[in-house]
This record gives sequence, structure tokens and C-alpha cells, in this order.
Amino acid sequence: MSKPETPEIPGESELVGRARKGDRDAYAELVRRHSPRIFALCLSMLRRRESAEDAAQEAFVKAWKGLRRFRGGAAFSTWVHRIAANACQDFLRRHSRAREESIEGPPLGDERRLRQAANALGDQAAKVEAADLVGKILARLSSEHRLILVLREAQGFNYAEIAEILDCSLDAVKGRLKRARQSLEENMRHFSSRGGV
Amino acid sequence: MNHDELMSALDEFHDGELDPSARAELEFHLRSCQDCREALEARQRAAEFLLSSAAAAYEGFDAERFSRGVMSRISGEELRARLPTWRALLSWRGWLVPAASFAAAAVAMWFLGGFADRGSLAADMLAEQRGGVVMMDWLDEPTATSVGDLESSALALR
Ligand SMILES: [Zn+2]
Repeated sequence: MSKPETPEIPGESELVGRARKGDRDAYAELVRRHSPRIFALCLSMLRRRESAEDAAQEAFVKAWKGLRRFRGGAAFSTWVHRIAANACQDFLRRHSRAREESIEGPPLGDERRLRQAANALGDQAAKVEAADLVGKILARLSSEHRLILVLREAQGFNYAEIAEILDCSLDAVKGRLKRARQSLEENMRHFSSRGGV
Repeated sequence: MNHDELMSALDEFHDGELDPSARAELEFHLRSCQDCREALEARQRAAEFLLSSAAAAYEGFDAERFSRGVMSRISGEELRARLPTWRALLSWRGWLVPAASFAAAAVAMWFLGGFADRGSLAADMLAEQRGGVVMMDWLDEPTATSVGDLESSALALR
């Protein structure tokens, strides 16, 4: 049997193996593959694109430094998400004062505008406004709740993977997810006078 | 399972974490229970809401550019790690050899009676300090023991 002519796209474990031996090209490829999701996670946590990009970069730099400690059994994606989640929490701790002003939530004067946007969430024309609203509602949740909701609903990790990322038990994942959903649904109701969100 | 038990299993149902038999039981219950259906719909709305937030993040994100940024940050950090830090340069260990040389030079001066010529003392000390490291090597020499040897070596340094 002859081999196919086209060069094979290296698999994840091969790239990780090469990167562990110091192959920078292999690591750059891993970064290209995983950065959109890591950036999305950081953006959900930090809201500002510059902050999110900075935290995401920090996570990949830390991952490179810690590659030798990375156990092959776990998925690289799960592992990097764990590092990124910690980088975001560190960022929020460092900028806790700024967070109160810009991340924690909109000033009360904005509520009318937000309510209008909430009711128009399904409307294509209000897409940008709606995306802004999503960020603002997420910002009203605790960082712990925001993180677990994004990992489950946006990133699509299952309970076992979330337990690994958050370094907790499966029961803790279930409990935390339940409380986070309650908090999110309350906030969505708060912004939607007719339950339109 | 009764209504309350099924209601509390809604999260796992929504997340696809329920075993097949419990899943079938809940699906059957949902057909007849309005409360459970509404609770499930609320979770689905929340999920769509969170997905839309992630989708917005991908717009305008350039993975190629980002990857280059990460790799240059790694190179920069590794380069900095290899350079000696100012702290290391300023630490007492960094100054130990020159300071010891200076002390050794002062002792040599005393032996040579150089202190008599007080006018040129400061200039002498400076010259000895400049040659400090050489003097250290020279003092370690087992052969350089006589005052005559010291004198000629010290003269050679000026
Ligand atoms: Zn029910």
C-alpha cells in the first residue's frame, strides 16, 4: 500500500511531544489551534479584548514553561484551559479595583438601554447591542460562576473535564453549575421585563 | 423518580450527563409536566445566551498573529532569563572579589611602607584597585613571599 502524497497534518499528541522536546514550530501550531477558544474564555472572563489577549498570551507562555510537567494522559486543551482560567483569576485579583468600575457591571443609568437591548436579543439588527448586553449580564455573575458556565455552555466541556480544569470533584462541578445557572437566570430575568431574553 | 427528583436531574439531562434509562424516564415525564418543560427551556435559553457570547469573541480574532505574539514573548522571556540581572550585579557576592583585592592591595601597601608618602596615597590606592584582580592572583602565588618580590610586583603594577 502506498502512502498518500499530501503531507499529513500532525496530530495533537505528536505536536505536544515535539513541543516538549523544545520544538517551537510545533508549539506555535498548538497555539494557533487552541488560541481562539482560550481567547473566548478569557474574553468572557475579562470583557476587554486587550486584557483577554494579554491573559491568553500569559497562559500560553506559562504552558510552554510547564510543558515538561504536563502529563500526556490529560488533553492539552483541558490543561491549557486550566492555566488560562487561573491566569484570568489572577488578572481579576490584580485589577480588583478596576474591575469594580469596568467589569463588574454597568452603572444604574444604563439599565433602561440594557432592558431594551435584552428584549431585542433575537433581532438581527440589535446583534451588536445584544453582544454587549451578554457581556454585561455575564459581568454581573461572580467570576467563579461565569467561568463554569462558559466552560460548560460555550466551550462544551463535560463534567469530568470541568472537574479537571477547576481541580475539584464531580459533585462540586454539579453544585457549582446549578448555582451558576440560577444566578444567570435571575440576571437574565432582571434585564428582560417581559422575559424576552 | 417523582417530579422533584426529575426536576433536580434537569441540569444533567440538559448537559447530556444522564444515563440512558434516567434520560428516557425524564423525556417521558417532560411530555406531561409543564413546570419541568419550562425549567428546561430556561436552561436552553441560558445556553444560547452563553454561546452567543463566545461566538462574538471569535469575530476579528487572528490566531496566526496571536501565535506569533506568544512565540516572541517566549523568546523575549528566555533571553531576559539568560542575562544577569542588575540585582545580581549589585549583590555583595558580585563585589566580593574587587573588595578583597582592594583590601589585599592595602595590606601590600602597608608592607611596602607606602603610607609614608601620604600625598600620593589616594592615587596609589586607586591604581591598586584597578589592578585588584591581578593582585589577588599574585598574592596566591606561593613564591611571592619575600618583601622584595612584593615590592617589584607592586612597582610593575604602577
Ligand atoms: Zn415535572
